[in-house]
Amino acid sequence: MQRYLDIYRILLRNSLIREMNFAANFWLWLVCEALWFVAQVALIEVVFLYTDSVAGWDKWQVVMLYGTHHLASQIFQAVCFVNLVNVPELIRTGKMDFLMLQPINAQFAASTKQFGFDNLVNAFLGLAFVVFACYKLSFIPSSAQVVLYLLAVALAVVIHYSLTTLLVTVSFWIVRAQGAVYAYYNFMNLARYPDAVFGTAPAAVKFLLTLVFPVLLVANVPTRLLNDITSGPALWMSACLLVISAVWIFSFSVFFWNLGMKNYTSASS
Amino acid sequence: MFPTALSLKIFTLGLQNTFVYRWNFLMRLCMSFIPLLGLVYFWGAVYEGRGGVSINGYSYGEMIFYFLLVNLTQALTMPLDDEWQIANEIRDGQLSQHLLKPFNYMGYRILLFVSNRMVYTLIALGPTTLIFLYFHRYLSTPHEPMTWLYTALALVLTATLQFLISYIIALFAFWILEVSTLVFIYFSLEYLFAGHLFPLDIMPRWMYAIIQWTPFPYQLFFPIAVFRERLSPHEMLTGFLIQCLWIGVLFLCARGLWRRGLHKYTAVGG
Repeated sequence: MQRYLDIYRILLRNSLIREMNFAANFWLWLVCEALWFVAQVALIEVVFLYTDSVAGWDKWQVVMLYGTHHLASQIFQAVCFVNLVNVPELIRTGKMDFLMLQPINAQFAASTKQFGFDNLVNAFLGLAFVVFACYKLSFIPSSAQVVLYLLAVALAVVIHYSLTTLLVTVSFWIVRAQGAVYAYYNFMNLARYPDAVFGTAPAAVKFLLTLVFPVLLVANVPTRLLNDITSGPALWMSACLLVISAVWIFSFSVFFWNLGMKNYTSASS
Repeated sequence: MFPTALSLKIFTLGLQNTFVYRWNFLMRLCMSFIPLLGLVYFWGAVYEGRGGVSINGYSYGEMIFYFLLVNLTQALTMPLDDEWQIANEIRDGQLSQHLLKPFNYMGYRILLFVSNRMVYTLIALGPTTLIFLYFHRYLSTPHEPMTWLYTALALVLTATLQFLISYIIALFAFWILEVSTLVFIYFSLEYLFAGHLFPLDIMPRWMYAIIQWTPFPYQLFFPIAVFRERLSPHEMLTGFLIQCLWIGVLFLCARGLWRRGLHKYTAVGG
C-alpha cells in the first residue's frame, strides 16, 4: 500500500510538471469543461422560466444535482479518465507491454498515469454550485448529511471509474473500440435528471439505469441525501442500490479487465 | 472546379473509406439515441408540472418531435471526423501528398464530407425510421408543400456552414499542435446556442434576438424551424440571408487561413 502511495506521489508530480509545460492547454481544457457545465445549467434556467418544479424538485435542487454530478464526474476525470481513454490505443499499438512489465498492478498503472489538474479545478466549480444552491435554498446541511453526501460522491466516483473501465476493456477483443468515450458521455447524460422524472418509465428501463448502468444513482443519491429530497423512489432503497451497484460493478470491472489481459496478445511493431 | 471524372473518383473513394467503418457508425448512432430516453421523461415531467400547457407553442409531442428532428438533422449535416482528419494530416505532414496532386484541397475535403454524410445517412436510415415509428403519434408534416423545398435548401446550407466551421477549426493545426480544445470549446457553444438542449425560441426573447446574428442557429435550429413552419416569411428570408452571409464570410476566412497556413507549413515528418 505504502509503495502505491509513493508511486502515486511521483505520478502526481510528473503530471504537474507536464501540466506546467503546456500551460495554455491547461487553461483551454479548464474553460472547455466549465463551458459544458454552464451550458447544462443554462438548460435549467430556461426550463424553470416555464415551471416551478420538475417532478417535485425545485430549481435550486436541480442545480445542486447538476453541481454534484459535475463534482463526481470531474474527480473521476481528474484521476483516471484520460488514462482509461488511452487504453484502446495502448492495446492497438502493443504499448500495453510496458505497463505489464512494471512490478505493479497493470490496472492501477493503466488507470492513474496522468492526473488532470484542470478537472480538479472543475470539480471545485461543481462544488461551488452545490454550495450556492444550498445558500439559495437557505439550507444548512447537518454534519451527518455532509458525511453521507461525501460518502455517496465517493461511491459515485467508483461507479464512474468502473463503468468506463468496462467500456474500454472491450477493446481487448474489438480493437477499434474508440466509441467507448462516446458511450460514457451518452450514458452519463442521463445522470443529470432527477430520478423522480423516470417515475412512469417501464420497470425494465429503471432496472437498467439503476443496477446495470446505475447512472440514475450517481448524482441523485448524494444530492437527495444532502437535501432530504423525498420525491422519487424511496431514498434508503436508492442509497442501498448505490452501495450494491458500486460493489458489483467495481468487482465486475476488475474481473473483466483481468479477462481482457489474458486475451491480450500484444502487437508486432 | 473539378473535372467530373476526378470528382467521381474522390467521391467513390470517400464512400469506400467510410463504409469500412459502418459498424462503428451504427454503434455511435444507436448510442446517440440514449440521451433521447432522458429527454422524453424529463420533458414529460416538465409538462406535467405545467398541467400539460404548451411552452411558446410547443406541446409535449412537438417538443419530442423537435428532438427527433435534432437527431435527424445532425445525421444529415454534422461532420463526424472531418476536422480530426484534416488536423492530423496537417500535423503529421501527410498534407504534402495532397499538395502535390492537381486539385484543390478544400474541394477534395468537401467531396469526402458529402460522401461521408451519404453513407452515414444510409446507415442511419434503419434505426432512425424505427425510432420515428415508435414516436409516430408526435410526428407531423408541413402544411405548405413549398416548405419541403425550403427545408431542403436550409439543410444544404446548414451542411455547408457546418463543414466550413469544422474546416476552419482544423486549419488552426498549422499554428497549434492540438486543436481538440478548440473543437470542444466551439462545440460547447454550439451545444447551447444551436438548439441541441432546447428549441431556441423558448429562451428569453432578448437572448434569442442576439443569437440570431451568430452562426449557431443556422447549424441546427434554423432548418428545423423552417420545417416546423415556425417562422414568418419575413423571418425565414432574414434567416436565409444571415445563413448565406455567414457562409460567405467563413468561406473567405477559410481561404485566407489556408494561404497563411501554407506559408507556415513545414511538412513535419514528411
